Amino acid sequence: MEQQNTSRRKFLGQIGGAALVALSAEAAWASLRFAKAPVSYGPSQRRNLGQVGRFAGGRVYVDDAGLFVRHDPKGLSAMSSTCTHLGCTVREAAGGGFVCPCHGSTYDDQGHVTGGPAPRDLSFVRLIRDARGNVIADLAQTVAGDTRLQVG
Amino acid sequence: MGKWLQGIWKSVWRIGWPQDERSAVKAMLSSLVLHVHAPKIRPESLKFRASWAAGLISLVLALQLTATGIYLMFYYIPHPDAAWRTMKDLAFVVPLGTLTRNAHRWAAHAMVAMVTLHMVRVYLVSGYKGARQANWVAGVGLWFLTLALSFTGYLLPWDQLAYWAVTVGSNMAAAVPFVGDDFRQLILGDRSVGESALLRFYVLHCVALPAILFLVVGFHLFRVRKDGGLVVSENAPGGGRGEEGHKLVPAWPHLVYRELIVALAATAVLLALALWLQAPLEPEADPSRTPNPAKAPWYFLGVQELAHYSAFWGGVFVPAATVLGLCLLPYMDTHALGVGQYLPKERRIAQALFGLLLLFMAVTTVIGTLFRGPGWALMWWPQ
Repeated sequence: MEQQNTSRRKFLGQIGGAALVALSAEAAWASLRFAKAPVSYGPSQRRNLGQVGRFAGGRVYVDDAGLFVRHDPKGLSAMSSTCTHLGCTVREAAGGGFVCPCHGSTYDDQGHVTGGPAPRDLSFVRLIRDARGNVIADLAQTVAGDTRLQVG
Repeated sequence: MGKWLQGIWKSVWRIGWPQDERSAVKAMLSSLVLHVHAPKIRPESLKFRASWAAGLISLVLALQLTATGIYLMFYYIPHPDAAWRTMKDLAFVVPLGTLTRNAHRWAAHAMVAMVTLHMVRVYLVSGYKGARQANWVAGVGLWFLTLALSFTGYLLPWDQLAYWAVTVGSNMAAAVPFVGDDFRQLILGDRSVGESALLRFYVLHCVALPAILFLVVGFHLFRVRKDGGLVVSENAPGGGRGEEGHKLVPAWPHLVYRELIVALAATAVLLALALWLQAPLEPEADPSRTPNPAKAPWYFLGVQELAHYSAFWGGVFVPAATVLGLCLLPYMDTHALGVGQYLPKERRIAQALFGLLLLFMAVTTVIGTLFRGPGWALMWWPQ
């Protein structure tokens, strides 16, 4: 009888302990889930770059979108100026190509890595045109480097 | 009337000013603050070499940071449109605003240095052995919290330095395998550093992290008291368990007065620093222009120097391995030889390994701080 009582107490204790562990895990998961919102409260990822004529002069840097926009015979492309190493903004190097001021990654004119710690080439983002003919960049969507927006 | 007033006084200070050893012991035991100390302590632990006062100064700085931080919160607005402007208000409009901000900034730098120094000393005297294993891990936690408080506080001025140091730092978090991007979004609350990140860092810096810090400090001090105070060599007079070991001195006034003097001296030095050295403030954060070079505060430049070689190995693996290694240390190095001595011959290998780690941290920090110029290129003349 005594033996039985002890083991029942032990069993209930183990159930309680397991419930406590499960509760803690659930609370931790819920906290993380709460903190990672499914929406962005920052500025829109879609940026209006203006009319096509603006990019007639070869390569133009669009400051507020952080994009190098190039107009070649095949169309428009937009290369991100965000370094693929740790996210600093690259700048045009004196001898052509791009250099990152934070840790010295270098890229050529096409955005291919030529040196430094950068793990990937600079990314390109999707360009579309709206009904008024404005060029819109979607910073959230990356595309292959040879993708072009056909412009008339 | 006098008696009535005396009664009020007595209702608060029940023991009165200690007159002899007996009332000194009583005073130590009956006060919430004073009973962090044992009523009687070993005389050896009063000496400078027993503590370097590094833990005490860390605590004093944490309290000074809380006080100055609360003042700064009266004016600070955690929003990208307003944060930098309130820094300018502190500098040009608010009476003593510059002094308060300077004191907060230099106390933060000093706290990182003092907590690190405290950890170095405790390592050297084997203060993580025996009953003190868990308290060492708590100490590593406090060191990490101190760095986390620095990092979150660093963003708040919303100047170029703040914005880009945190951009680089949060992208290091993104180099964590598999969950990196989610982890960064969790910290920043968005894809990049913006209003969500500023608000999150503000709440962490002003509420969550200080609350956790002071809870752990409470545990840390309680355990020091329970484990017999400071680590003292068995060979030192009053350190062993022999006849000498029983010659204890009352903590009041010997320890309490010394602590008060150290606290006042630390505060005086902090005030002097705040009067003479201006906390820097760069132009307002501009997401489209990275300053060249973009540097973190000095205590993160060792990590930034390593991250320059590889974001994962330098920015994630080495820091994580260091913190994990420090936490596991008391459970791997368990022999009890040379406890309480700074350079015991039984610990030559342990001291040499630790010395190498410190040297590595110092060299990478010095290179990152002084010998890295625009584009993170090596330069031989410090700027």
